[in-house]
Amino acid sequence: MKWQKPGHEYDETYRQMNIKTAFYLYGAGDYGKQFVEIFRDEINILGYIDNNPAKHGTVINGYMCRSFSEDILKENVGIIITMSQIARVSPIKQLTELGYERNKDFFIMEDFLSVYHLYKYDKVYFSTISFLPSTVCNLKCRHCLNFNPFAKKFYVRNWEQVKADIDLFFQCIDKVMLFHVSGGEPLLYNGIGNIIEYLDRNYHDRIDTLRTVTNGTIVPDDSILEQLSRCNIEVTVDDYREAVPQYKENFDKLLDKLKKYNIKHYVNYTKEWVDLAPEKTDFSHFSPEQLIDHFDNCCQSWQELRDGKLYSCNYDAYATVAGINEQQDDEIFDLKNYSLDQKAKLVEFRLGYNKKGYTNFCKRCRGFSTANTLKVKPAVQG
Amino acid sequence: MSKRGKVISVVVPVYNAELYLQQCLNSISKQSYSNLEIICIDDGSSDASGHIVDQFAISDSRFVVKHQVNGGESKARNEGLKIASGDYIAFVDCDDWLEPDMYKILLEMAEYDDLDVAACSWTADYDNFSEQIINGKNISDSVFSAAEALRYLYERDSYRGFAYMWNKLYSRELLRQANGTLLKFADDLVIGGDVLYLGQVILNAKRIRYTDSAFYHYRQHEKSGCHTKNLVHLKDWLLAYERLLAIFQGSGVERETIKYVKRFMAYHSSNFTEMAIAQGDLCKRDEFRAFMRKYKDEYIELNEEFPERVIRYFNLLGE
Repeated sequence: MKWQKPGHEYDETYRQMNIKTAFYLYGAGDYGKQFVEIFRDEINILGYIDNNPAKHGTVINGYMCRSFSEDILKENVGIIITMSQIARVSPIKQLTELGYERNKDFFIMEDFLSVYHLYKYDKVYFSTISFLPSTVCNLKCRHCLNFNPFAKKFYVRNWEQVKADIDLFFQCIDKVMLFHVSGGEPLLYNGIGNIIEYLDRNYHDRIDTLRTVTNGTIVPDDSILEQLSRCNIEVTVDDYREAVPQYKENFDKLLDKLKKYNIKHYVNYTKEWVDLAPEKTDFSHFSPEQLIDHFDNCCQSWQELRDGKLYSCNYDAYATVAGINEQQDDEIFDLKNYSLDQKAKLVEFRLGYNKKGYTNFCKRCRGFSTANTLKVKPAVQG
Repeated sequence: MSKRGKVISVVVPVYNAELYLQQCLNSISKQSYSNLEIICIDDGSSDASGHIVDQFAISDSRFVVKHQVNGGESKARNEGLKIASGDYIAFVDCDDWLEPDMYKILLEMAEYDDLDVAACSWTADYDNFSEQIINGKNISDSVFSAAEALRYLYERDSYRGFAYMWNKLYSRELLRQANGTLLKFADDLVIGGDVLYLGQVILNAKRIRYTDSAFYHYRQHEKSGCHTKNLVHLKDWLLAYERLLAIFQGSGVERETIKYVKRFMAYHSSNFTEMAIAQGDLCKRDEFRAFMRKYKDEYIELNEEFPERVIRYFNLLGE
């Protein structure tokens, strides 16, 4: 989104939020549960709406789940969409077609979280942040979303850089729902245990969920597992066994170890990846308006924290590190120059506003959206 | 969405519970669903309980209080049912307490799926700790029928969360009899009226749903009826089950379920035999042993995996 009135983009949204006396949460999955944990005592939640009939009439996290019907939407009752970026596309379309307006009748959870805390409590509350200590990985995925196949060498950061970034981030941001330590393959990073321990020890009260991810092919040393077991950390174990069956044994061993060390973990199996396909995409002929549309229709909502800066788009930032973003991006928010009078601008930036309304990499990216039909098998090598 | 105006009548038989009553009644009066009729029948309490319910009635017009000469839980509940005018009926024991959203959620469930009974799980509150009840096997997540609900009720080892009458909301229609009044508790029994009532009610229900969320707190202490050591009263409890069995047998209830009811009785009569022996009451011991003999076959059959239980059973039978 292109900044029109920096510092005041959400004034009207907050006013609309305030008019509402109660809300339904659309999406009774993990996002909905996380949202409830934060807002249970803040707003009047009437219950969940979900499109999965098996959930209708059940009680989830203390709220009943029902199907969507317009009868339940009385005056001054709003909807907050609590689903993943891709999953929310169809309910947003459904609501829009019925004449409901975003930021008036319904809200996206990230917007709601940040705008509510900014206007009500003068706090900067992010939904997520992505943090990569390195891009080193043992797999060579053809469609790696870190664009490793394009990079001449791995990018590795030292402890001082890592620590400085974490400390600066928490000087500027009051709370974050999910702090995601990503990669590369995080478990290959030498100081991964120290990073997690540092975050957990110093900022546990500022992070709702601290999570890292692994490709499921690495069994870390017991000393690292020991370190992780002392922290409130979740590990997502990606299940790539179909693509890399040679690591099946390691996958099982890793799960056994995580259980043994009582480390909270989830196995994540996904049928397909979206291919952003920079090698065969050229939107350089797009007008600025077309690029803004392209950016706004993209469902990707992650931002990376690196070298004291937030990058408007994760993938733009990865492409820069991989050396394929010729026109290096200036759509960044430099936390080193941050002052407290910039809270609203910082929140707006995190929610997708920037000067141009898009990033340079948009010209070479198919977009993380349902419109992008380039789907590939996960973790195909070579 | 719950239609505005649906009233829940909450029937609370009150007897000598001054230590816990305040918490109990507070938790009802502070329910997030407020359209309640809270009926307290003071069953001749000799402590401050009667005064406590009167105080609630003074400050909260939703309370209806009646004081009566002590006549037992069933009589008190029947008095409550005579007064109850709600679209839904619920029961609370006077030493227990509820989570604030209990009736809001149960009512939403009932209205959403047009249920006869909406049920939730519960928490056992001990002096120093609480245990949230987890079912050994999963209770269906969908609407189920009486046949299924009866299995949940009597296969107690596996489905503790569904047991009892206080973790449920009953539609008035379900309790209504042909003459228009609500089904009454058997008040000739000192204890056991509730187990008989619950069995009868569930047998008649067509649409039932359960949530694993635990909204009811069941206080565990020696005073409650099912913890009594009074052998005469305990016999009533077995008689209640015998009546229930007769009803089930005449209503085509599944054989497997009936076996579980019998196993249940066998188990409890063995406990009562143990108590009678401990109290040196040989007469009562023999009465309880008669029950044990009657349901021995079911007990053995359904405890195949637990030889130690069967050995204990035979030891208590003196065989």
